[in-house]
Amino acid sequence: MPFLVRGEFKIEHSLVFSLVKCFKFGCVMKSAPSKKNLWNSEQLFILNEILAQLIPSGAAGKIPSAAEFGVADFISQKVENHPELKQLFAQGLNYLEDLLRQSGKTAAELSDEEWIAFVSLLEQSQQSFFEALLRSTYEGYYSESTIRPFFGLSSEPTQPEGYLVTSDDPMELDRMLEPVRQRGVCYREC
Amino acid sequence: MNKKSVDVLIVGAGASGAAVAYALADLGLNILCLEQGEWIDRSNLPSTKKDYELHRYNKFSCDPNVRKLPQDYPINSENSPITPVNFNAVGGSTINYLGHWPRFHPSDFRVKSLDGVADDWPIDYETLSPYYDLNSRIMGVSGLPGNPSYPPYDIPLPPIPLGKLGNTLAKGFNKLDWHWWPSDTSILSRAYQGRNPCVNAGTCDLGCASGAKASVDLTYWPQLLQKGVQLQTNCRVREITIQPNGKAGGVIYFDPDGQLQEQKAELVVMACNGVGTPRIMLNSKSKEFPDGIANRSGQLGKNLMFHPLSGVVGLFEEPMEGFKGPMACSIISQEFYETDPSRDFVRGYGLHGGRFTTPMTFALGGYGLDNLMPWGAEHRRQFDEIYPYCAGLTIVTEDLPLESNTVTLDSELTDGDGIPAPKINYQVDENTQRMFAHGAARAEEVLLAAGAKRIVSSGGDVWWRAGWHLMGTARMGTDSENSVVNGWGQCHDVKNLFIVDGSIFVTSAAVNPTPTIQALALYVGDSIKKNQNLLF
Repeated sequence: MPFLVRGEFKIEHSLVFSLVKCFKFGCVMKSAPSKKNLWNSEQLFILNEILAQLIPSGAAGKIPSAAEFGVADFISQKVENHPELKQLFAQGLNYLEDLLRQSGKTAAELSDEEWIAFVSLLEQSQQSFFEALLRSTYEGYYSESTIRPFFGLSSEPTQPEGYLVTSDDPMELDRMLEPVRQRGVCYREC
Repeated sequence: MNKKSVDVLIVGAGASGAAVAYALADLGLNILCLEQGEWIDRSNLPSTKKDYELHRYNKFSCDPNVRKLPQDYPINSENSPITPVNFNAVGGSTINYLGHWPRFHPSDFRVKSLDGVADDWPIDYETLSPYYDLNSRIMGVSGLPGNPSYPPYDIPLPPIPLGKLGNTLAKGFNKLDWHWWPSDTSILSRAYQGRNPCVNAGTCDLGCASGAKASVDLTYWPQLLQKGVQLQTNCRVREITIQPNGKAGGVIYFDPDGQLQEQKAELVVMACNGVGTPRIMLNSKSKEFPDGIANRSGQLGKNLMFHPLSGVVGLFEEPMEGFKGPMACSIISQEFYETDPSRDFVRGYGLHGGRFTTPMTFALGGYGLDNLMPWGAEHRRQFDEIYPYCAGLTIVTEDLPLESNTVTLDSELTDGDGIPAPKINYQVDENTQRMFAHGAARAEEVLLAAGAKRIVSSGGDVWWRAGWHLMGTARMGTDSENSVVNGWGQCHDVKNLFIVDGSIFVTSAAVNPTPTIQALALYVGDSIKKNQNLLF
């Protein structure tokens, strides 16, 4: 039985069920642990909190945030494969750790509003890092195939199945084009 | 190491190289094509992978400066608002192009006579017409005959579906009583010559795994190989050699092992696109041609034309399903294509109604752009409330030739074999800027007439990765003082050296160039056949 998240979006029951199950049993956590050890656990915690603000959850929690899809792992792997990003991310995460220290709170104590303020500060003062982080977040999040059905797309590769688009009825197409034909030739003879 | 001389040596196995080989293949000549890329593995294309969108920003990017594959050469486009895009493989950029297939108009060959700008072509629409037709049959073109924007011509297959988006836009054009027509596409609406029809995957740029989109590795090359044309991949040409008698002697190239080789030939044909061809020719310096082979006119590398693009997007009540169907093709309007003296620009533009895009590309700013969309609550809102409901029009302008828009050789940047990289100096001219302003306003009118609640994105800067159409850098002409090749692609200065790609365009028209590039290549090949006494 299909779920209706929005009027237009039919989401497969099995997908929603698996997401609900994961939320319920904690296998998708707001701060998912990373398989890589590029950053320490506090840095990863901070990174995931930032990711949750960059792409927040939607549709009353049914559309997961960027922290819930292993985006941190994706970014970690990307940084591993692009040495030029390592220094940038190290600096950016240090900056965030400094911000946290200055706040006098632990990462777990910060509210959403305080994290949003952190992201805004990051955007203003660490532009290169922020842009690399945001780009990587969008790449990681939207390359997760199970996110696509929330926007009407298939979770499957586009080939070989593709999408059904009904062929236009030739009579109807002719009717639609009649006014264009009526106006006559519209190129310059030469 | 010297190899046995061949009759015809073609550099580049893309759209034009394949077409010229086809025209020459029945003469019993020994034809060899050198291609810097390799065959693509159709079973392993990005569109068959779950993370397909990611490949658009990695090894299957249209931008060689992003892909950075061994067969790619870097392009310095720091001095340009548009960066050239391409693909290096058997099939060239037909592997990742979008298959929109409009022809030039008859007036496009007569811009000087009609409008007093640029130059007339030495050939006309009538001359190319049979070659357009032949190429349509070989590539497998879908569309609807009877477009009043053109003289009559045949199309082998019925049009691809307009889709919800195209049908919606068409109603807007009808309300305004403006021209529109279903797009001609090199994408199959029906099975054709052993190839499957389009499955509306919407990711044409990521390689068409079903084979519905005509790339020349699927259309021309199987026939060419059967006819005995030889193709060597992973061979990168460094320069064309010149003999004491003033004829081209062949080429020097790096073989797949990176070893320098010489290949002699009676006839050399360049088919490396509007950036790659001037690059190699400028790099072919000798005592006779200190500024590059066949460049006595000084025109080689000048008059670079793209089609500067921009887009306008409207927000509709219902989901537009813009991710379904061929990316760049649904309907085309040429209401503003021909010159109208009442406007503040000469020549014209097309309004192309393609489809929309996929989520990652929307988040990263749109196809051809690098403008990250907002984060946070606004990100969520744009995805939930805007993305599914978008339909847009692309403004495709005629780019007039300017001598100051150039391809030169970079003094420092090289490819992996040490061959100088091309450097682009390009500015969008004022005439085009005025077209954009006009086109953006008209596109808004159509979208609102089609039922858009509001316009969410309008005009703005030209798209960065919009350098699909590379034209004009070795232009045709009757006067050897101001053109590089004559009316059938033969270099004025070197009689056995021909060019068949977009370099030889005199003007750009305001349509996608591949049908015209291939028609020209077939015509040049046919002309070589008919004029063998003039080759040497």
